[in-house]
Amino acid sequence: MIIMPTVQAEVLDDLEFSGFARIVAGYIDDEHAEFNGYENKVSLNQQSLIGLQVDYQIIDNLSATAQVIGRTGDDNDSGIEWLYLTYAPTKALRLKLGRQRTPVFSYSDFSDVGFAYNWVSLPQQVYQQFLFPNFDGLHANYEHIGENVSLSVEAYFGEIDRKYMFQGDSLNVNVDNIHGIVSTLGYESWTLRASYHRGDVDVTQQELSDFSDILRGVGFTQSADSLTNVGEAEFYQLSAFYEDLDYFFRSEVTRLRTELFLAPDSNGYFVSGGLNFSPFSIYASVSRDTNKYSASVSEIPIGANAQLDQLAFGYQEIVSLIGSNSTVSYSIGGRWDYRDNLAFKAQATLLKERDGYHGLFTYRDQTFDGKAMFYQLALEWVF
Amino acid sequence: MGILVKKYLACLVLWYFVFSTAAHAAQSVMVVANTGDQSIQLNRQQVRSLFMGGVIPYQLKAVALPPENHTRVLFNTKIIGLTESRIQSYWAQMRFTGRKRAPREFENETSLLQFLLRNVGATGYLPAGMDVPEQLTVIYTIP
Repeated sequence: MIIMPTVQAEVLDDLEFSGFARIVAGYIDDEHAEFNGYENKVSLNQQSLIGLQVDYQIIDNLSATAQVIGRTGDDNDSGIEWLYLTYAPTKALRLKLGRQRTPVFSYSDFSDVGFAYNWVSLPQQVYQQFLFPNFDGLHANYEHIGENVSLSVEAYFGEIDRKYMFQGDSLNVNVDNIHGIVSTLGYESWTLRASYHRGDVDVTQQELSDFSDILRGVGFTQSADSLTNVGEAEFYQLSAFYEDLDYFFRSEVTRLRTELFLAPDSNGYFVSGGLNFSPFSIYASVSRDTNKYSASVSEIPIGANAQLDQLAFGYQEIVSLIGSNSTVSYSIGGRWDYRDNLAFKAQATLLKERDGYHGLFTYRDQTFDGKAMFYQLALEWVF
Repeated sequence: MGILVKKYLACLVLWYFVFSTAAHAAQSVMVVANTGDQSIQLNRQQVRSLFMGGVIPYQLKAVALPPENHTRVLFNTKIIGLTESRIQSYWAQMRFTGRKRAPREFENETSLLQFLLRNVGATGYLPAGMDVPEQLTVIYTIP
């Protein structure tokens, strides 16, 4: 009994709680369209969130971490984002086993921690969607610091079996054999990152699967195949960041190739530059993408009978929901670090559909001209 | 009673070390380690890596001063090359992606120096020109 308080104190010493939170207000200055849940009135409940993390040091080189996120927004995927063991056999090598965020692009694994970057929203054309935000598996990181350069190599593999919400739809995502390699080179104020990721994806959207089964059942195999959401997905990424006391520059180029109906082949990039006047910073960014969906087929005869017409109409209706497109956004914004763990941000973005199908706005009426100003304010906190 | 007097004297000695050369200390910093190998000399990149959680080929562990501290501001400016805001952002990224942890922080130069003297491998930054106790080694000074 006498030693209990000491034991408890030691346990508490090895246990750490921390977290982050963001309150984001957004407004689309156009009454004819909606964008990612934002519309022509101020909304606080699209990107606001809170994350809590607990770390427990089991022994010297072994620890356990859990991170839970509570989100707002229509695509509310609240829950356990990270749950893993970290084992560091040497100072240079770190292994993580469990549920983790997939480090696809430069900001992918900490996109929820708004305090860690300057934008209110990450450049839309690069970070708008990716198929596998989390995976369950093993991640290894090896780091080497030379006299003038630093080099880090990460590799991971695992699987995903989760239900996600995407633009209001429920998607069952199953990815086998997801793996990737990331190399990061640091030289003076530059950081260069290059990575490759791939997985065998099987996405189920129930209504789409049911319709595809009907098509296959009556012999329209090509039409059924064109709606498939089973296949390979590959991501390529390259980024160059520069940062010193006065200036920063960031650019990232991404490429996605998939065999899935719902996910287009995409190329995207952003270029961003800014100035620091500590505790303030300002920036301007340009971001652009092109998205190409697989071509539809004309297999079902029209006019033969009413049932076939219904099938053909159903097929055309589905493929009309998607279409190749290109979009661009121009942003300016600023950040004020009010305290060491508290920052305020503001961002104004011109969102614009460039050509092709309407790809950027989630809702539009007939008079919408394909471009709108998007204003955001944010409070970012870590604790 | 004797122990209290010793502690008092120890504090006085540390106070002397910290502030005796304050006039020279205002504009520069040096990096000091408690290491048996007094031949260790790092370059700026290695010091930067050590204090940003990177791996360097020596058994050294970085400790730091708090954000508002003048010596830390000089260290950020002359060695890390990033604003305090960016450094805080970086540590938020590292913590919540399970990569690295920020160095332990001490309230002021005196408590940091006490920690350095007591812990082999501990490495911290102090105002340049300050008298350093014999047990510690200056492993980097700004050219």
